[in-house]
Amino acid sequence: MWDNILSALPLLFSPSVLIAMLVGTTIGVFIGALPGLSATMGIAVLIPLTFTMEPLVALGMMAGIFNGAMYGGAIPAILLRIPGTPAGIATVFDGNPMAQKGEGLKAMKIALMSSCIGGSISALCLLLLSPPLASLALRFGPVELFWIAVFGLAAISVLLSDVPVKGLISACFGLLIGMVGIDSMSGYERFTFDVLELSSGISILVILTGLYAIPPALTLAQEATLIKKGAEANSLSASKSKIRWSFFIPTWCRASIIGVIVGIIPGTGGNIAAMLSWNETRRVSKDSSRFGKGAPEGVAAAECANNADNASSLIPALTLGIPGSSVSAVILGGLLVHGLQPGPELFTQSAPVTYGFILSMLVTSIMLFFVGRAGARVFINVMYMPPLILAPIIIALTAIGIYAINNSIFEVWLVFFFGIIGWCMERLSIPLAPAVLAVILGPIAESSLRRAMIIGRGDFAFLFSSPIALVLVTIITLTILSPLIRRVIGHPLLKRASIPQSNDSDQKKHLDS
Amino acid sequence: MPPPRCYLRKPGAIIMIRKASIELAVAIPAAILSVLGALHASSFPQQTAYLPTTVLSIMSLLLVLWAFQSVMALRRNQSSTLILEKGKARRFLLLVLSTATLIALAPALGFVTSFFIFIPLSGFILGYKHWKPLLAAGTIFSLLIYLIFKVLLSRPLPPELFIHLF
Repeated sequence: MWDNILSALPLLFSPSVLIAMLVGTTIGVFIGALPGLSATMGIAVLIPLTFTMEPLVALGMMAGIFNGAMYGGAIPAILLRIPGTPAGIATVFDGNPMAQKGEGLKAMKIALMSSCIGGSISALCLLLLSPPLASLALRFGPVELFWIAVFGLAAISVLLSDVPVKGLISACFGLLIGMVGIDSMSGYERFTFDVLELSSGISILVILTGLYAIPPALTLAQEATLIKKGAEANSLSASKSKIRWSFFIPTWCRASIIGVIVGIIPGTGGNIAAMLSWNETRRVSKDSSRFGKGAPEGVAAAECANNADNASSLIPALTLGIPGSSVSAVILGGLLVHGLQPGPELFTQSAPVTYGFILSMLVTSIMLFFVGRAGARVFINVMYMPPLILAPIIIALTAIGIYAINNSIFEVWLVFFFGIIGWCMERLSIPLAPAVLAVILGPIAESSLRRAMIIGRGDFAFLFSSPIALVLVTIITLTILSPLIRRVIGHPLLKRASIPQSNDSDQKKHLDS
Repeated sequence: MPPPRCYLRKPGAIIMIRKASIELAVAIPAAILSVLGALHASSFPQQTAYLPTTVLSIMSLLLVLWAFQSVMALRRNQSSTLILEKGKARRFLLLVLSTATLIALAPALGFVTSFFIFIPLSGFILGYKHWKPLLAAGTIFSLLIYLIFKVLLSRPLPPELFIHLF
């Protein structure tokens, strides 16, 4: 492992990768600071633009966006009581009351430092936990690989939606999209309907950008939430009291552990990590009544945990090829675009780039501190960017990014088509991540199943022949039955926590004409 | 702290629809399409047909289940309500139409020229009536696209109309 890390260092610290990480982190904070946009959208728009770049330059930029956006979400959460990203919801609880007391700048500094620490610890966990897990996964045969792919799909479909049926429908839709084109094993065309452009299949990039970049743009235009400048003026009239950083160390330790563990579990995400961490910090506090009224530890707990979730969510994605969240699914897409097949082979066949990417998660977490401090005032102004200009810009950027890859206007139309489908799916509460994951995992599952059938001479019992396969089948069954089990056992942990209500209806007003 | 001030105009007409009704209207045709797809997939050669037939069969069952859940929600009056505001629907449709026009015209006009027109015009018809920021955004964005894709990345893009004109 250490040899691989050493071999990745010269690549990582080359000027182009350093600039890419810096640019990515800055863009990430910008995206996070804009309510309605997320890291997932930012990376989805960026992937086509990075197509011609060196893999590590592109991946370094993605790492920067991922870490930057998670912190950026805290800026409107603190100053305007509007979370920039879903993971910023828990930051609102104490961040906005701090801003109301004129401690907005202090809350932002705490959020920034906590984000950097959470992100760095998470990146170290990714660096240390992934190689042993990958070497274990290398021993898996086609049977185990098939069940792992099924597990990934089942987990994200069932856990990511309130109604498991919708998650599973989304997964089936993704599997179907993944089957379009010429079957690589038989040469037979599937679902192409004599359209020449479909015979090579639908690119993962088209699905990613269609489902993740277009719907936020349509929603931005539709909602048209315009915030008039000057709203934050009172919040920033900061008291110049010094922050005692040592006070936050226990909170950071607790939040980092929660964030890392939650990140590894598929189907969770930064918002759950932040909520759990905020609740746990309040529970162990000597005076829990301060929480929700501007307790600085509340901001530290939420921000540290949501950034600690980032890199750790990539552990199952990089080692097994199973992304635990929508943003890690998009990053997997990014790896595929740059010719890197997610899974244990990443750590052997493409070790320098893989380790370089993992280290870029660490470097961008540290870089975030400097970017956040230097650009604080600029990032605050980003919140006021008119969405009615931003929405056409996102669409235009997506269109040219996709066109520039294959010079195909057909693919631009496809992105637009998938964008509208994605928007409809969001309105009907059908999660998008299972569809994207199914496009990635579908071919892996299909080829593994076919190889297993050939080895097992067509006997289905061969799929249950190894102990690992039996363990995986048990886990899959439990995952699918988990909504039923949860209903029988009682309410989930989150429902027990009494969370302060953040009513931002008075702030989110829309423009109608 | 007073809430941030927002631009607010008179709210448009509001249509309220039960979400389960829309879900039912989506699930039934999707289930029919899925069954037809499964029948189509079963005509593929054996090895090729295996996964599509299985997936489409499962999908058909799931869609029927979803339709059933929607019917139950409607019968028990448990469905949430979707609120469609006229202004929101109008902006959504306008952006969809302007995007379709952009994609249709871009190969003929060139991407940079199209963006120079698309961004200010879309922003304006969507309701942002400040011409200066709109024109500035359109010009800066088009210029950046030209620099990145033509100069820096040297990507072969359709010929630009503005180059022919000037």
